[in-house]
Amino acid sequence: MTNLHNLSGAARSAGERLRSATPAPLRRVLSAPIVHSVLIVGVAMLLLSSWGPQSYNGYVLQLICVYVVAALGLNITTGFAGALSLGQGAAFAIGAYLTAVLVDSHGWPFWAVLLLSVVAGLIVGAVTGFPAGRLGVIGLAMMSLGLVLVVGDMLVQFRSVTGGMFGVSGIYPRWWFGAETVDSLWVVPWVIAVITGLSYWLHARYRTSRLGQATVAVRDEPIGASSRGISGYLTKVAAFAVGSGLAALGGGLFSFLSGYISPDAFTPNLSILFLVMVVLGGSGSRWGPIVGTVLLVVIPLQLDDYPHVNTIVYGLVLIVLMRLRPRGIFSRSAAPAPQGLRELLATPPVELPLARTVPPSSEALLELTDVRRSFGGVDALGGVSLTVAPGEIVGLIGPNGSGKTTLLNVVCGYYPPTGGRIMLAGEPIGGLRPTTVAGRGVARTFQTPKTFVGMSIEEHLALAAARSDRDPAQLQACRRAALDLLELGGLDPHDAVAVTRESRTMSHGQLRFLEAAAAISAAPRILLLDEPAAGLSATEIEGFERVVSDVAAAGVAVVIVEHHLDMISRLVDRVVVLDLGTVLWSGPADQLHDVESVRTAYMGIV
Amino acid sequence: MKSQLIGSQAAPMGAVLKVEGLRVRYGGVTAVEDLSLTVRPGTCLALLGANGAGKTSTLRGIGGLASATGKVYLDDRRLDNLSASRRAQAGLGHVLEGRHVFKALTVAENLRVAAGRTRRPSDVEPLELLPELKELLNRPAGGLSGGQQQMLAIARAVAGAPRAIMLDEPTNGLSPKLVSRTKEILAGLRDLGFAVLLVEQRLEVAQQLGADVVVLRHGSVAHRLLGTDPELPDLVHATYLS
Amino acid sequence: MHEFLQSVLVPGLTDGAIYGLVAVAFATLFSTTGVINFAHGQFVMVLPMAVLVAVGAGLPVWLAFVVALLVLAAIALVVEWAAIRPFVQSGQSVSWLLSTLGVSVVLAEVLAIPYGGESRNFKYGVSSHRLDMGGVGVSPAQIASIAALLVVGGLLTLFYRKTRLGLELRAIADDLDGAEAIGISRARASRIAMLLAALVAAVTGVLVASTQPVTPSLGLSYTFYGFVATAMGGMGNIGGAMLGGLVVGLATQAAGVYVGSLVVNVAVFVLLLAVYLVRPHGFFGAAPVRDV
Repeated sequence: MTNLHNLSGAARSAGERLRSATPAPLRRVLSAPIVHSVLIVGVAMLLLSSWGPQSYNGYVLQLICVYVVAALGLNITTGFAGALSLGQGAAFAIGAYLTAVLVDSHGWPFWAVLLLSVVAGLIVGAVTGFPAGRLGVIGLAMMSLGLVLVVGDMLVQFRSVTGGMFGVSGIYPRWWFGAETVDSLWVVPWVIAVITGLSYWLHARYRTSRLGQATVAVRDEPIGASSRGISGYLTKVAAFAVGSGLAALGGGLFSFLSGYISPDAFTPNLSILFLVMVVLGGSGSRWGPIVGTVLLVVIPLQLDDYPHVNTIVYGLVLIVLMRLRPRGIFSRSAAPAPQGLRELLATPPVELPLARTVPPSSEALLELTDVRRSFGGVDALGGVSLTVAPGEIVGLIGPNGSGKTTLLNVVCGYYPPTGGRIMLAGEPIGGLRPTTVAGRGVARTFQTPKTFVGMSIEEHLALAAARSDRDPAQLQACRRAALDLLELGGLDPHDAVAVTRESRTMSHGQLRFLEAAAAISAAPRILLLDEPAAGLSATEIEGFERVVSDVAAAGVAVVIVEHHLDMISRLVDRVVVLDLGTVLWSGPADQLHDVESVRTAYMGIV
Repeated sequence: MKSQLIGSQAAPMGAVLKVEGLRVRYGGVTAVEDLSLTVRPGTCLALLGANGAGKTSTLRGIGGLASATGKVYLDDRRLDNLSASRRAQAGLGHVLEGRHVFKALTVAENLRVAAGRTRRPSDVEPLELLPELKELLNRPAGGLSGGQQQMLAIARAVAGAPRAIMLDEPTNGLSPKLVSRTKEILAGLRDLGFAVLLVEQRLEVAQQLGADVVVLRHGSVAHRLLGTDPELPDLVHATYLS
Repeated sequence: MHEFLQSVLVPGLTDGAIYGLVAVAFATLFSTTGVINFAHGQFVMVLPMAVLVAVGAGLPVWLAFVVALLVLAAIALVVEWAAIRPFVQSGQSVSWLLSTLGVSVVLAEVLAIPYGGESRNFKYGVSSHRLDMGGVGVSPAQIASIAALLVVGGLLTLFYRKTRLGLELRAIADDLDGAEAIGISRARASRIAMLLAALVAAVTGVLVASTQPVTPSLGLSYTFYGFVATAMGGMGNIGGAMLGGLVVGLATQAAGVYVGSLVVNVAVFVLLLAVYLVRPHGFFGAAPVRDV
């Protein structure tokens, strides 16, 4: 087991060294999806021309391409969005049958019928995925299983259309409606190859788009995603839709490849086959679906002489994979996101330390009035009132169980208050969803950093979208602060290869700095920090304090929950002490140690 | 009082809990590094430290709930190659942070299921040590207050006839009255002869129990001293703030 | 009215009893381990298939049953070790879903080896010959199904409430860390839960085989229907699972009779959707409190 770890670790560092060694422009070209797509088409057609499209090898190659299209789609649903779909075979079947029936009975041209198959797949996917908001992983998986059973039924039942158990034959390409079928044997192979290349390109671009980044963020850490204003629901529906669309497209291509289809080809086992392809190759990776498909088409063909062994091997592969290497062959989930750092690095340097350009305003930005929150009859917050002004740093302290984190959670919208009012810049935010609250300029870090394990540093930064109405000086200061935090955490923003490392490989301290940098780079109006110093060394804490000061000096309001009283007394303008859900005391930090009630409650010194 | 609580067996109840070179890792992070301590029967050792210093990780490592290297002994018996449940069966009682009582089971069922896992006769009647539970026997544990659940968690650990007991922040979130009661119970456990390993944030608990103290900082031992040492408050203060 | 009784109520309840048994097995395993055994449908088929093979090899029927039970138990233990124990209450649903899915694929294929996947009649179960009971035709097999559901459900409930072992399983289900800290072994609990589920599968298998030919490919439908029943009843809730099964049975029977056999799977699909949209934690389950 450790050997597998060491091997993949060695492979990773070798990959990194190789990437560092190649010059940047060449690296960009080599990793561009369009280049890979053209390569795929080129290689496929080259092989086909030497083997011949009607040869056995040619058929296998085209079958691989067709399955790759469906596998790429499933990778979007299950890999990128983390939604286990057992229905990929159903969408494949729908595409296959739609194509077959329209071509055979109504003489549709290939381009129109494939397009319609995609649309049908999109609709089916959207329908399967639309309950995603209420269903967990298991629920969605079971829904997709139900879909497989229903579609399987329908294929047999609608005999008049689908030909029942006899299937449909006569699936040949045409250029136009009702025209003669094309003679050339090269049309179908070309169509298959080109569509495979296009699908690869779509799959890669989906991942690097904002939708794709949001999808992966929600998969890895839904709470962290919502704290950045990213809502999970739409990403899942979109992933299901696109995934099924590609499956249906693959099904359509399959019809043309085979010339004849019947329900036998679309058993639930097909869905499972697609799943194994994706999981074996590496769920969520860029090349995984292709490698998985090739392995799971070629190898079982060698075992064709031994009945039953094929299928048993699929099953065993799944079981063994889950125990030994659940992430599959290509375990890299992060995708390029150069725009993440580009804007940050372009920010001109600012004089440090910043002079207080914006004096702490007297008008409150965040105002809590008698906020209550109870859980099952127990008051976690029993009426808390406090205000925070722009540019002010407020420290929130108190013993364990005093309600500090609950307060942050209520402000951010994870729990609606059971009483009282919360106002942000004069507007009530109590009871709003976390994504909405985040969208209004509230940024937050958590006690355990909620970073995204499958995303790289640059992706984390790309996720943060700065508000358009920010004061440019403030925006600049925040961006500089974010860069400083990255450097403090040992995550050199100038090292183009290091910033592509997945956050999975980073230490706890580094994740703290990454989370904070990402939160600040969005130039929030108010920053809530939940025990940011825990686990950091004295020098790291010092650096953190500097950055927080700079950010506040630029006009951002800061609330910092902490146990490190020394850090609190150095950094904050005002301290609020919570105990058993209410405010025990509030005042300047230097007076803290003199207050008797605070000493007793907090430090337990009698 | 003592004679009422101890059964007919006069055999010594407690055992020496010895930890050598404990190292606890979570993923890529080392939470505890090279920690050694010894708790003798009839004494209490308090593990103090700021949040994130590694206190809970230490107990979980000793208890087998977190993956750890290093040696753990209960008298002569080595525990570190056993699973968590086997360590409990061997006599290592563990009252977890956050109590972890079985909410859907009644108080009586909580106690019964703990008593059933040991082959040793229970030397101490949990309900004699914590009589306030007597009137709550048929209530589902989920319906108890935080303080009552804490009592139940301790009683449950005692029901398993342990030789050493580890408690993780037993006074967390309790009112001052309950904190006193908990201190009483802890003193009672110590006087009955158990080896008591206590994790606390509150200094006063360690001081008033006259415990040996080990102060943790960033996963390693920063200080070892007696609870009655007058230097203790300042030393702890200093480590919390660094 | 007679029509309703004969073609909807009686078959609906008796089919529902079978689904209820599957759901009860799911609930038993899920409450202790947090895992739904995707291969359970195949487990149901193991006993009748093994009996057929054993009898075909010349064993007397009673011995065939014993051997088949042992085979089922052995398979259950291997599957528990390989595909379930690593994920007990781990929250990584994708892992155990795929893992047990893999088991279902392997088992379905292995079950197809003896007779090439063709269905076979099972003569060693309960008679499915229709008897006249007050104008309604009911077979002993149908009565046995309902009786089995009640007996199994009742015995399991007694087991959990009254026995020491049942108490331990409830403790593990309630709080895994707390249970381990007082000496309850997670591995042992997981094994016992699995064996219980396998026992229920054995009973289910005999009943299924009594009313229809034994086919390896039946497994998936039972898994799906059983899951819907479990979801309706609140995951891990035995009584809820029983009721959920009966509801699914009635719904599928009604759909098939009043609309058409095409709609049967659609009806179950819609039921699942309804549960998740209206009351995601089931009609008898407790709403979970979210932890941030």
